[in-house]
Amino acid sequence: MLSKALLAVLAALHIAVLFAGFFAPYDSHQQYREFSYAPPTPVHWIDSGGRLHLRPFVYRLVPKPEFAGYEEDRTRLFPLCFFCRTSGGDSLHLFEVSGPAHLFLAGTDAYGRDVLSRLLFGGRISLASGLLGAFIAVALGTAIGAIAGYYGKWLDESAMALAEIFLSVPWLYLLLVVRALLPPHIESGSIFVLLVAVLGVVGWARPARLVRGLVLSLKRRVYVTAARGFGASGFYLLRRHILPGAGPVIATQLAWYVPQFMLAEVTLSFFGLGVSEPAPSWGNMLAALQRAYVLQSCWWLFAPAIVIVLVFAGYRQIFARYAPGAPEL
Amino acid sequence: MPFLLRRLLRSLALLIGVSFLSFLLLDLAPGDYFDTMLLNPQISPATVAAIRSQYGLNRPLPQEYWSWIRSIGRGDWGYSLAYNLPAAPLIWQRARYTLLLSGTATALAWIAALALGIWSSARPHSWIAALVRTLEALLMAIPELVLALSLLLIAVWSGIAPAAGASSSISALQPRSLLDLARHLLLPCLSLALGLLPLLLLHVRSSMRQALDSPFVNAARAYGIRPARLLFRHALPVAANPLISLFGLSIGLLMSSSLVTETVFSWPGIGSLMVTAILDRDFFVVVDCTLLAAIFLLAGNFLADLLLFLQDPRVRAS
Amino acid sequence: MSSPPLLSVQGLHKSYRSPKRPFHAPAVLPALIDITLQLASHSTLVLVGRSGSGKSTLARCIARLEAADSGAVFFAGRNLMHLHPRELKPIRRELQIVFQHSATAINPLFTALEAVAEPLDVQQIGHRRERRERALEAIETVGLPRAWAHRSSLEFSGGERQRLALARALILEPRLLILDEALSGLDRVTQNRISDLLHALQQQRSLAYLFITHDLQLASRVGRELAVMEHGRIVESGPVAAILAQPQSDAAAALVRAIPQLPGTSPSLTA
Repeated sequence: MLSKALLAVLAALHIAVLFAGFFAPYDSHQQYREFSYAPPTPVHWIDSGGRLHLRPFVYRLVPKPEFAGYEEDRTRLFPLCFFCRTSGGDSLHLFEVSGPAHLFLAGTDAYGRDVLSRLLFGGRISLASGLLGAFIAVALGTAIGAIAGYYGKWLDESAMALAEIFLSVPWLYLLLVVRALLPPHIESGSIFVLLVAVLGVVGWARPARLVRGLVLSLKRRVYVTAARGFGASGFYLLRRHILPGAGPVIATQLAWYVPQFMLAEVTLSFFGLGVSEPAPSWGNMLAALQRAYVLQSCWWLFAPAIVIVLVFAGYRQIFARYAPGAPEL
Repeated sequence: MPFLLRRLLRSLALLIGVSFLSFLLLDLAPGDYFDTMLLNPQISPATVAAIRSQYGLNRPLPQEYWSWIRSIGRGDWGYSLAYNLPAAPLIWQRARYTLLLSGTATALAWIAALALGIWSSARPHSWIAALVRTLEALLMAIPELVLALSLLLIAVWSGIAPAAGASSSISALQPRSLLDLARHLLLPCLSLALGLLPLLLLHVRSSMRQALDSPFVNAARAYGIRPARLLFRHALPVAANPLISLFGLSIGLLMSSSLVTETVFSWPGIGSLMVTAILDRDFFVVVDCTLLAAIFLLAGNFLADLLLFLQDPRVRAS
Repeated sequence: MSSPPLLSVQGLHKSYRSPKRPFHAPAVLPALIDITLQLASHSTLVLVGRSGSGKSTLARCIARLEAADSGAVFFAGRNLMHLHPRELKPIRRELQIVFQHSATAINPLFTALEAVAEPLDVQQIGHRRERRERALEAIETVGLPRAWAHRSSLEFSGGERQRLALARALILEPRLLILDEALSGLDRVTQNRISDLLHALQQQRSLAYLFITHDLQLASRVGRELAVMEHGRIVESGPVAAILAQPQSDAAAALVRAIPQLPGTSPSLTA
């Protein structure tokens, strides 16, 4: 029951992130300086007179004097508009409000940017890093591992020796070192590509070892020898017998690596070594929490942390379903 | 004996490989870092030239590598540009703090994992077992970063323990007293321990379960051996096998597992040094930290092999 | 026989060398020592011996799935030992081998049709439709219904999978079929049925069999000529009946003694 819920949440998250433009009320860059560090806007159904409204609404936020926070101006209510287009904008939104009111469902950050919108747009970077990075690392590792395992001898020895060297350095350190080789500030366009490339280059070793072991055992199957007996080439055997046989294990490994790589991007961005302002990423959003004042008073800025945990839980659930037992360290 | 010898040689070969990789990285660093050094008005060009030639950076690659290795062996690990100090003493100082933090956390995590894991394997249907399983699943889903931030929040809200640094005195590395140090240690240690716990718990439970389900344990049960004796004298030694390798690996990770926690809690260890060094382009320090972490990991792996050798007669026979 | 034999093995040698370890001399394990045998087309030679006598190694060396150290293997007049792998590919159509262990003989991800048609795919013979048709025919030839062709190979029993392996080996219409303990591990009834099938096929097509087994009783049912292997050598050869009645070598004698017999009867060949 819980596992199904987790998977559903995971799927919903991916969809929301994919269609961030639709689900997010605002742009990730839009600043509302006068509403800096605003808490989540409360949504009401019952107004101050006690009447029930069918459409939920919000009140306008008014900054309290001397930076003491915000209070609602109950003189006028602004109903939520579903499936509307912004006035002057051309994109369809799931929900929004018009006029001087704002819908900050998850509050705002230091620059008055809507956290929910940044969460969804930032999710693109973080989730895509995880998915692409894991995919590249596993693909690279599979290619190397399959060739090493199948053709053996010096190819195998050298590939595995190289893999062991890579695995002798704790992966976060390796990631940081490779990142350190690149210039400290890279513009947001190329940083994503570079980040994914780095993740792929750093993460190939463990999948390679796994695939190599698999290929070694699959190679001995009778049907492979039989195919050799009627003249099949090595390439054919890999393509039609060995890799499809290894497929299920490789796929479950992906489920293990996607959240790890997503976390790698988040960690790098948190340190200021990944995606940098103003582009959103779950990592650099969490970096705001390092200031004591923010940590203490702005609990809504923990939103990325919650989303990260949900992603982790969801992918671990997928992994547990198809590969029960202790994972490879 | 040859088994151990082979393992040792292999670890050494890997160490050489890692050192070469690090050296290569130093060499590949874009822009000569010594140019940045030249920009610092406190360092004279003569010093820069001297350091340059001392590290043999104007000679062919194999010679450079060899002179770098020799200087490492001498205890000279390079120069920190950001701190304007030789790197080695800086790193050793921070390494002590890292070991303190991760050592305590690892010990705590192991004790908890063993206690909870063994108990829940012995009584798989009790509420303790269910609790342990829930705890494991929950902690598995929470990455170290989130854990650290959450505990930091708790620290700031409740004021139970200080939230940053290793001491309340001005110099982070000179604690006022042991008590002060301990108070600062509390939260990061808890954070790291909770982060390490779930994987350990998973492995303890899984190997205990395998041991308890094995045919010879079932046979022993059929003789009517008391459950406690069964658990400790029969199942545990078998379950210990994979756990011993895991323990060796834990030792290997002592230098590296605390990186994120250190950064969040501003604990003055190797991890936080690494991060600031990257931001400062302090390249010697970056490579040195990585090398130190790798050395520990390799040592840990070898330790795991050694322990396995001592414990498992099957390995001794091969 | 005035025509030259289909298969002629002369002086085949093979040893296995253990990998080099420091401070140890490499161990040399002889697997085949001076093997010489002949097989005419349209006939059957049965190779018997205990486990570890080198039978499977010989089979693999003949089929060039492993490389022998020295000697010659003449097949249809050509020495297989000297052929380049590319030249071997057409030869593989004529010389096929069926293995033991029906469990992994066929890829579990394949259907029966795909498995049987695979040699045609690899050798790139004919179009898709032709291959399908030939595979269906082959499946029928080995006594399995056409309708089962689309089932996954996992749904077949051990005996049925061996039949599929046989169909797969036959689809290229080879002249020589090596059966390496192909019927071991199957029950007696299935063994008898498949050996009858083999006989029938030999009548219909021009097929020669090299049948490898450790079971003398099965051997006598399958063929008439026998060669006995022990420790990598051929220690005795001749007609089955003669060897059964009067085994000359220790190896043959041990195999004869191993034939299960009901008390009060003498060892008999199956009817």
